[in-house]
Amino acid sequence: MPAYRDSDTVRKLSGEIDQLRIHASQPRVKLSETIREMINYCNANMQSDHLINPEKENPFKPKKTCLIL
Amino acid sequence: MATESLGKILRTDESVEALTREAETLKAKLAEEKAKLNDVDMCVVSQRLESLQQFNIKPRRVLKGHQGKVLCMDWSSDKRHIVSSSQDGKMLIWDAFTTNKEHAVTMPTTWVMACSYGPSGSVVACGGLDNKCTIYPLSLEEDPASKKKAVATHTSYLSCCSFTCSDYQILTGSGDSTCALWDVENSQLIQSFHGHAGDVMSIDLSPTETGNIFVSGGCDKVAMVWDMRTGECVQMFEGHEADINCVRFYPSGDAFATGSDDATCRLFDLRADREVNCYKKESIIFGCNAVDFSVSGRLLFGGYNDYTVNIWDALKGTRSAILYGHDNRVSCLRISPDGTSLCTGSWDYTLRVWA
Repeated sequence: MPAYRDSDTVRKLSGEIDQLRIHASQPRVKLSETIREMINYCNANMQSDHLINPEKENPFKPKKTCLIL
Repeated sequence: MATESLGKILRTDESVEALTREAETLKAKLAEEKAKLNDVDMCVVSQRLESLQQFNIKPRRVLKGHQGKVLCMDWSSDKRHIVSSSQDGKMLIWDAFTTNKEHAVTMPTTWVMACSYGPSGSVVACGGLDNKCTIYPLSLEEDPASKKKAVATHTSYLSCCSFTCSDYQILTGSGDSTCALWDVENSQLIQSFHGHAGDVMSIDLSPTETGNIFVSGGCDKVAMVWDMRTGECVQMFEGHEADINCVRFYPSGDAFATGSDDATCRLFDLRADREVNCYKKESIIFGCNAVDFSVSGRLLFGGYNDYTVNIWDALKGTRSAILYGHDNRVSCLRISPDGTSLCTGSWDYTLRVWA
């Protein structure tokens, strides 16, 4: 059934082309710019990143014994 | 009649050739456009950044109770409760502070591969070899199973699920190579997403409020970005040499990380439309099952088949630390919603909380 198979291929290829057109139409930004923004995002949020800067009160960590008592 | 069908064959032959040519031209043009934007190397740019200090991340809790491999877990928005699902056919709800089990639900099949907390923290969803995604409202008075509701049905196993920004919609991924968005209230399909050429293994919704996109990865080694409203695949990322097991957005929503059986994690940038970093080492030869970022995006956690968790400096592309503790594959991991702790699930039947 070559005709059947071919029309199947045509449908598949047309779909692929539509997909490629969508992908090609997406706006793109230079890597230098996106990386700069990514680094800025990190720097802006690192202070509140408690896996990098542990906070004093973490419910999963053992409580420090109170010296005043 | 014979000549007519012969003519048809010739015409389709011709169009197959023309279409193949057109597809190739488009592909070449796309590659050329992308190459133009590749003006720097992330690892080179990041060299000037200060190195991270030594971490003090330690195991703080061990959650024991599953009688099979832990396959999936998720945090509640209260930063305290955890849902986990296992090969033993059980879904458990934990109080991670006390390590108590608050609910246990037995599923109709073993291998419960997906579970997820609703944003409100009062509902969970799970599924696996039953091909379904079932919702369980949580209350202290009643057994969650008494109010269960099957919301989604696929034609193969459920590999992942995630509520959208409300308890009323859930996104699912399946071994039938599709993803689908469902209305929880009336169990109806809202949108399906076709395009993967293999089992979908993982999905993640964009953290940006206006996002309306999600990313998926699977056994076809491809990660795809989808428009939730139209069902269209808007971007496609190749590069991995084996199954993608996990996808996770960078906290800003502008990029996402992947973990793969090819023993690498990668970072793909949506706006530059390309891979921007690859996290690998010669000594790491086992696959990565799960990835997640710390809240700033600087740390990328990866759970591996060699029982370890590797912590990568996401910007520099170097390994910052290794977490040891599990006695078998690390199958899933998630940073708590406030970013203060990490939970890992393993084939050693336990979950661990690190902080």
